[in-house]
Amino acid sequence: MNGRPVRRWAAMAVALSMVLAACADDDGEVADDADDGTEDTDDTDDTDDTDGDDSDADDDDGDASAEPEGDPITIGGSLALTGIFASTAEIHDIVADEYVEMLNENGGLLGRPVEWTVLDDESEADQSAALYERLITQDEVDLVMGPYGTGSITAAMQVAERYGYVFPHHTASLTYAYTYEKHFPTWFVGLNTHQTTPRKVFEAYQTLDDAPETVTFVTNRFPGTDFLVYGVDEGEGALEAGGGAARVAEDMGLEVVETLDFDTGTTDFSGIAGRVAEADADLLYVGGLGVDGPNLLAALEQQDYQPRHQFHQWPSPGPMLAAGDVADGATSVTIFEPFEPYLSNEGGQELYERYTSAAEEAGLDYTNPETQAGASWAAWQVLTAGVEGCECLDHDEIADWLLNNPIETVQGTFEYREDEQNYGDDIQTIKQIQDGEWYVVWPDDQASEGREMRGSS
Amino acid sequence: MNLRRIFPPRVVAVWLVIYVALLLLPTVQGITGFPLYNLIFLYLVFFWITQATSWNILSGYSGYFSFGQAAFYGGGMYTTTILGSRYDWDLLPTLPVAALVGAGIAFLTGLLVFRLRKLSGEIFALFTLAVALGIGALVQNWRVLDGGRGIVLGQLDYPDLLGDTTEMLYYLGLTLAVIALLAAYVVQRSRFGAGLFAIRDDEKVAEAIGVPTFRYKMLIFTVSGALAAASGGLHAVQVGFISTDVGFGLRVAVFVILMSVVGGRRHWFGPLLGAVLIQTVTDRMAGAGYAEANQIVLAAVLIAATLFLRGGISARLVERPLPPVLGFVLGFVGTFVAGYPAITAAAWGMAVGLVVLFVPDRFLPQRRSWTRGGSAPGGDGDGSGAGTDDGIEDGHRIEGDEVIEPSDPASPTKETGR
Repeated sequence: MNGRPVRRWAAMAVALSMVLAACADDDGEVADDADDGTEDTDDTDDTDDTDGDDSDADDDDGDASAEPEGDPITIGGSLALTGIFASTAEIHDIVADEYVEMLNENGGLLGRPVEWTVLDDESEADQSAALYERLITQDEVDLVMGPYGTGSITAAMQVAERYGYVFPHHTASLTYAYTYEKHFPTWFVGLNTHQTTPRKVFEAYQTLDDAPETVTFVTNRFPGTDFLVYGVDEGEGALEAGGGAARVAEDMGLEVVETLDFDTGTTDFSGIAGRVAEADADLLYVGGLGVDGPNLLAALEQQDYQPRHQFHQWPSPGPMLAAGDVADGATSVTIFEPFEPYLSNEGGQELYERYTSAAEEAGLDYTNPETQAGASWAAWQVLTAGVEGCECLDHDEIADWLLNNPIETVQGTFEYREDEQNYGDDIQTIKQIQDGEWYVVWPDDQASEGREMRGSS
Repeated sequence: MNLRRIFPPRVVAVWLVIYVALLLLPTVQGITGFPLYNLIFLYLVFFWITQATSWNILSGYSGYFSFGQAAFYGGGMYTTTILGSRYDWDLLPTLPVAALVGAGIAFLTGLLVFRLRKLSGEIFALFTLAVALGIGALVQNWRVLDGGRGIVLGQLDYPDLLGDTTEMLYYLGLTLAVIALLAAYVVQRSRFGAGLFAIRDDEKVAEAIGVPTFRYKMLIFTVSGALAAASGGLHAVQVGFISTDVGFGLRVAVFVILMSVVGGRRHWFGPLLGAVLIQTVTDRMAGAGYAEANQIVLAAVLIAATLFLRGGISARLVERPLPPVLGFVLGFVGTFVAGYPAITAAAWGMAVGLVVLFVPDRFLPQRRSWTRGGSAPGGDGDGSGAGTDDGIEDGHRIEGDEVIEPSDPASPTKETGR
């Protein structure tokens, strides 16, 4: 027998098998689930019917101490468990675990246990999009929670929109770009954060006796920080052109003496530090995130330069404290800190206690919950409030409930406004490093006890 | 051109059956309701097949190793995104424009790099990497294109007959993959392909025997860029938010190399095998929560393929297809029957098949070593293809039915004599 045709066909069979295997239906057990789930995916209204049948579960909803019963409610999401954003995403991972554990200890959701599935998007937006496709169409989760990182959130939101899923998310910064009617941001900074956030910062500084008159901007080219510092150009998103800290500063009478940009991932700031020292502005405005600020401060310290005033957009709180004296007096914006009045907000004490304990167990350097943890916890509060509010898993109804009811969170009360792309008021406050700790210092009525904004030392 | 030789009817018939089956799959999904994710998974497989094949027709066939895939892929992504989001173009017209942009980038790069003989080998690789990074930096800093903010693509219009977004991605992804594979197949079996392989083997010799090396390299580089960019343009819809990290990162450049090396760089079929294998493994590992371990696994596969599978899986598979096929079938059926999803079962099947593939010859029933020129599965076995030496670990090659010894003075080159 001639072996060549046999081999040819066998090889062809390999290729065919590989392709067809990927398409073949699952076995009976899996296929049954898949059938149900596919209908749910195609028409999310059907999930409501499922819940409608689960009347016992609904009845149990009011009894928080009851053991959750019935099929679990599955919630899926991705986080940057590895990659460039992993250190910050770990905060969201801890919060998710703690929140779901708390839910299940207190009767679950709609009386049913909650299962949380988190996948690693490796800090990459395209991976995140693929994983949300997977969570929705293969794992057929009932609900989704947004990932961490503006790029990943924005990409995942496109997928959620494609399938009509409610999409709570905690830290997306391109407010102007989010037009999906079922997205619910919990970094409650307002739609026009490129105007309101810098205005708050400069207003806070204007209360000082030695209020800054000149400012230097150092900006990470990361989309969110770029947006906050340089605002919106013509035709970019739904907002009117303008805004951005640099323009707001000029509008408020500050002289911009230097604007310096750097790429995400930069760690050597010696060149930028030299320019900052040379400009010697009254206020150093760092449009950075993570360890950008501490790295820049370390470079400034090497050059024996101490900024008179310094603001950091989204710094990692622990490394900022660890930076030492050079960071003393540094300010930032926040939506949650482990002080009053935040601790009296809905869930504030639980977040503080649970997160601190879990963060210590996980070996985090900085174990206090702040902006990241507060945004993350609030996202879970929003999602569960919507489900409990409509007593359903129907995404249209959840969204409708969230848009028409105030929601109590650790940050305060959220009121989503459809005419502002589901954003509300900018509820951020200003915090400052004083005596080696972060304290809320502005506005006065929300300042930590005995604390107020300090000028240069 | 002898079309019957290039497209043997039986082979064409088999591939047509596969193609039609794949075309019908979304309809079958709609009827049977098997998990929609299978279509999305297959779209990603098609995407990687297109990307890897586009890379391979340049780097695998001609030996010019490129690290600049992102220049074309990212260029295509941004073309579709900018035309769609800022100028309200429908999706379909953006794809040929994306292909033109990719072709243009490749053409201009080629004009510069191929004129300078010293820009070959590792210098060429570094040059292409620099082109990709340079274009990425331009996009990052030029507000007209992006400016570092990223662009949300949103939903683009396309003909209703393509179905919903998932189905549309599937159909268009399949179409692009077929075009890429067809191009790779035809090139491999043409005089043009023979010239490219001659360039790979020894460019000076190729020139000496009359191969128009500059023209051939320019042409294949341009085609490669066009394919990668069109595929990138379509993939922008899948990702939805385009930034320079997504468009011009190293991920695509690394993966296309990995897929082609594992699958086999001198067969049109190699990148297909590599893409199917690596996308399946990556998908399953990510889903199981081992995304990080996946990178280790892929590195191990690459090392193993480099050490033990000269010519990649395709060459080994052609050389002795039955054992790995049986291994795949056993692995697939075993896990499928055990209740695992089809993609997981396929991943296990591939793992078993690979293990069998790696078993040294001495542990298998002895048989006469053989190979066929240009003989990917489904090939016509005429011994004229350029993939011949991929299957020859000891330097033998085949002409007709004759095994030529490597020291045979009558066989200075392999393909250029056609």
